[in-house]
Amino acid sequence: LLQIMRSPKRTTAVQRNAQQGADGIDVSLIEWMLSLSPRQRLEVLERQRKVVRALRRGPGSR
Amino acid sequence: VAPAAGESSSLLDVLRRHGVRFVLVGGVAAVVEGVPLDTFDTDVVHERSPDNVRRLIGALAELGARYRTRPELNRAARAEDLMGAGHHLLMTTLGPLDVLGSIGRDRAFEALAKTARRRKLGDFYVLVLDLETQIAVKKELGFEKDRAALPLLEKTLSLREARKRRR
Repeated sequence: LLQIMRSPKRTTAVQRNAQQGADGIDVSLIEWMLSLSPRQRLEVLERQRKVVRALRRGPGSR
Repeated sequence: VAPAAGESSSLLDVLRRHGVRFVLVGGVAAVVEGVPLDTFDTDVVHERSPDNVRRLIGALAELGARYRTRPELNRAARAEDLMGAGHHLLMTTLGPLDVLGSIGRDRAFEALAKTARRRKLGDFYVLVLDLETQIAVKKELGFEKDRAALPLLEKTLSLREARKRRR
């Protein structure tokens, strides 16, 4: 997942300065998601859930 | 007990191993189609045939599924329940799983499967509700949370179409 997060596509998307429109939607985030495969998108979501659960459990948890 | 990480793909794999026919819908389907949002449950619409419901009951037994919004029931979903168009909001050993007989305006498995996309998730393929239908369903439902998600879904669809045109 870290490889995905650090991929050149992701970096380029972030460097586009978020491209936030008047509607507040971060276009660069969508572009980054679209650059991933369906499997990688699901991995991003599952990784996020894991982080949230770890935060809820408190310090020292993973 | 906290569910294992990667629970959506693991949940879907259990359904697949049992031969359950279903379409992945809801937030996880949106993410798989490229929408950057957070969601914690996995939603599927199953084929409501007797054979498929029997296979689904086998999968739900393996997952230890119980009604999460009606803990007083303390039992698994039964065949007669799953043959109907209603929604079954379950908790499993791999996290929340919503088993839906239909979504939107009576959209059942057969109709949804026609336009669903076959997506590779890990070592297996899953039918995933296409973004266009996800948007149509949210418009039909009209709940506040569905309306709130609409701009993100619509923006993702328009950007995806623009990417296709550029290729």
